[in-house]
Amino acid sequence: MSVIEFYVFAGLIVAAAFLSVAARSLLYAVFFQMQAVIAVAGVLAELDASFSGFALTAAASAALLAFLVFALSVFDISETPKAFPPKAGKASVLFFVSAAAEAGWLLFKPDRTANQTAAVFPFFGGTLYASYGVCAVVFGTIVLSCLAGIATLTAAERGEK
Amino acid sequence: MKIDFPVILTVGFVLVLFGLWGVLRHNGDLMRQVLALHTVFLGAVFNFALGGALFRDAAGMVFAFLTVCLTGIQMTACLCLFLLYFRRHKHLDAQRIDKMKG
Repeated sequence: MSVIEFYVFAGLIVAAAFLSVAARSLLYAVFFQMQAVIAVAGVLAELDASFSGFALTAAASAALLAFLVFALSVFDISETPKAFPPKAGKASVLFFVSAAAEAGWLLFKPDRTANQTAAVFPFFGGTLYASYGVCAVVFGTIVLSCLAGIATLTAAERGEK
Repeated sequence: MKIDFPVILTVGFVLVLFGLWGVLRHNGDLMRQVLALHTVFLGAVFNFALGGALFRDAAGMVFAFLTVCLTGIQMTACLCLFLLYFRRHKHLDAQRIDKMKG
């Protein structure tokens, strides 16, 4: 992992965490939080600590998915028009594209930087955390797709009503 | 050029700071407070994992796993409590939670 990549992912983490707190909409806050989690998993995957990234992505994705489904099921959307922003569908597509870009970067990057990773952080080179990068990427992308689908369907249902 | 420990510590500290800011900013919304607490846990995971990697200590990764598990448990338990509270009181306003009787 090069220093530039670390700073890029660290900047993504900090920016997503800030926007997660600053965003007024709960939907956007969850999406920004998911972006931060994906970026942390990206840092871990770049360090050949893909198993940790997989564990983090799995736990955080399940928790945030349950969080969003809980918010959708408990609150009556038709009676609370301000619960979701009017452009939730388009924003969901944007978040999905950015998450897919991060996932694609994670999918193809570790093969190219195996030697560079060992030079920066040699500890992870020989451990067992080395074979789960693809699993983490696929799992995160699937769950993010579910999140985007839920948000889009909810926005469409509200538009029909 | 290597990644220094102060940079890692700064990123983790900023994440924890944002989480605490979120807890204070959304003091009336329990859902947002839980989400802000998730940011705090994320900062802890970041510090444990990268600190452990930097100092070549497996304990950092073990504590990162522990933090990940605790985050999931915390969020699940909070959602269960919120569901029970919402069914009874029809709101999730933290400002009115002191009127609970048990």
